[in-house]
Amino acid sequence: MAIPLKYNLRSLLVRRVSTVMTGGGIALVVVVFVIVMALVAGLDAAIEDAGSPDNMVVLRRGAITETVSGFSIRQYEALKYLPAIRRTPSGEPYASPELPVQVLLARLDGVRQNVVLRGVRPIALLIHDKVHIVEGRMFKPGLGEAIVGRGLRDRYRGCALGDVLHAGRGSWKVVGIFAAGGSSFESEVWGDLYQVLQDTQRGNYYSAVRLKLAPGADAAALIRRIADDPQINLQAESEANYYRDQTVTADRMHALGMVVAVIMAIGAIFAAMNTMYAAVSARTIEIGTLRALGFSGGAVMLSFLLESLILASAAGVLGVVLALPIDGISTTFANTMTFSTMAINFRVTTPTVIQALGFAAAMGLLGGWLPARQAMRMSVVDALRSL
Amino acid sequence: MKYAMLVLKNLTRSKRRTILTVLSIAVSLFIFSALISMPAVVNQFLADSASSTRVAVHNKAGVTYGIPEAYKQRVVATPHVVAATAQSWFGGIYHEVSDQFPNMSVDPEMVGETWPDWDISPQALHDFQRVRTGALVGKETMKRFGFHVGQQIMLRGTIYPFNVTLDIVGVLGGKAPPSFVIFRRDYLEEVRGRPGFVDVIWVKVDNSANIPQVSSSLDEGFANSSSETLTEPEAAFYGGFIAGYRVFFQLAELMGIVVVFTIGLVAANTAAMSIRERRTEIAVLRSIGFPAHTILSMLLAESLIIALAGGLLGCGAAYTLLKLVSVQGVVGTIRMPAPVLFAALGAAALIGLLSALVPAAAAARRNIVDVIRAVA
Repeated sequence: MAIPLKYNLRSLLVRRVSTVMTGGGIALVVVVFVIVMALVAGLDAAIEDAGSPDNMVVLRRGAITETVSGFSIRQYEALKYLPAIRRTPSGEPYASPELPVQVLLARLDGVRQNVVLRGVRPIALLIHDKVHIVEGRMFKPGLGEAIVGRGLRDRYRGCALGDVLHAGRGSWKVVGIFAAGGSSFESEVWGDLYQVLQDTQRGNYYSAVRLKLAPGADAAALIRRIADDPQINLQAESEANYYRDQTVTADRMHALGMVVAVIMAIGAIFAAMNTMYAAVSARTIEIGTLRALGFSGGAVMLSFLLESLILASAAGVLGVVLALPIDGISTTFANTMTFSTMAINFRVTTPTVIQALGFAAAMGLLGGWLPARQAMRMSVVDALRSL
Repeated sequence: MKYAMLVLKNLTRSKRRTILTVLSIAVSLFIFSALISMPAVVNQFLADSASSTRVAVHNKAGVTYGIPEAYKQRVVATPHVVAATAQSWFGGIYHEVSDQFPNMSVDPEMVGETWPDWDISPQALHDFQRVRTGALVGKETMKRFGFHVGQQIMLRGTIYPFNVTLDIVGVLGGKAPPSFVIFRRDYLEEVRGRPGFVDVIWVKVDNSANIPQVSSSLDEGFANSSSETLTEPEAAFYGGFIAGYRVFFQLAELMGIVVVFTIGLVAANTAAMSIRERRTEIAVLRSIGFPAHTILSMLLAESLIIALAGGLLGCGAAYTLLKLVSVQGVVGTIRMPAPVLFAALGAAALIGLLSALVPAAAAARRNIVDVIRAVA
């Protein structure tokens, strides 16, 4: 027969101070865990969500990111009419030559930060599926117009619709604001490719070509063709692959967050153990009485384990509730791919919440295990004699 | 001192509890000191650059835009300028993609004058000016890859489609960023075949008071040219690159503080428990004539010993770990600076004192008669 749960709940209330302190410790561990995981999820979203499944990135051979890549316009011309690339009804290939450069923009507080100014052609909107204009319109080539990612709008000077933005050597009229599903593109300024080329005064070259595969086209064959064709001689990979390789920062943060959370949990487990040992020894007589009444050793152990579990789970819920307001808060983070800064949002995901609660429960179980076992093994006679 | 034995006996009375408490404090201070070390290293780096009298001249549009190398002649001729060195980023990697460290090319002529705080030996400077493929390497990068002076290394280009082969002629010491590798710009320009543009011109100004004047006269001088410039103090220049990691540092500091706070709660809980159990003996001690403050000090000493033992264990482990394993931070390997060590031990002492203060004071003050009667 099991000991009623009411016994445990009341016991927790009796030693109020130590319950609050132990629970508070576990709750704080959970808060830290959730915040770190929310930052990692935000970073992952900013990088991984930038790609589309049927898109490819073409770079100079050996280049790791588009910022360090560069090749001649002739190579692009040789590439763009390959049959594996999808075409518009009018026959124009879904190939977007791009040139991202880092420019210094003044934040609202006046501090200058590196932001990406990406030179593109209007075709870019067809290839970057997730990018769409949310305010205003797309820029018209050759008129000194630009569109601005919504992550920049409230952070930097001159980034609102209708503003004149000084980026690079020139200035741009902001005619549109675009969204990109929370990805790092939202922290970029997009202007006409030829004007960006002119602005850099570094000769004629492109950094990357983004292209969309024709339906049913063989991606592997296209990659080989782009590499082997002496006219092209570039390196292509799927956007998914490209961005997966770039999540190193998020991965490191994830590892660090895990290590810190686990070490903190060990501390919290010691704390729970201390409290439960004290609870067991303070209630020696009670345990003896319960056993004398006929409750088995197993029931006593289960009861103490449950008590620890209840405490830890309640603390876990409290921790999650305390950490929830971080969800959706936006901040800027270093974008190691482009040597610039990007806006990211903290994201408290469902898996994070489940992990956090499981984590708290595990702390309770591990911390309660040894003390509960001690309670089980207590001899009835000795326990009662201590009266 | 005569009470030391008693304190020691009390500590070993419940060995399990003492060990658990020491371990949880150790674990928390391990995390605290390791986490706080990350921003501390960067702050130290920025503080070092703030004390230099160097400014960075680069294109107003952005560092990657570049400025004509001819600007250097005009920079050197500006009043209060002691030395100027042009720099171009190379961004190469050694073997693997993960083998990254900042590497760039500089003009060899005035390296010693531009960076007198980098403690480059006269021999190394001489060799750097003599050997066209010479390179000066920061201490940490030397250690990380087991480099030695005289060794030939190859850096793979990432921005450029070629590699450079370098001969290490000396070590960068002093306040040089310990992960930097610099080599000669004339060598890079020769391989690159397109001379003319540099990323940054580093300018050593004679006196920090003259920095604003030099900066504005440079920027005004280059205004309305094809490459307008922005001149920033060294700390501001590096600060711009590090700014993106600010959230991360804030988070690290927040986590550190939360950890210490959590463990403070745990320690207070434990101290309260251990003192509650000893209520009767404390009353007995007082009734045979021990003054309340002696008992209070003994209880505090006990808690302090536990906390400091945990602190030493945790910080020691973190210090050793960071020394043995090189964790790459934003500006090179993370090491634990001395102030962090002291802060962590101070936090441990504070945890020890505060956690025991309330229950110990209560126990030492409680009415003796009541306590003893409650037992009897």
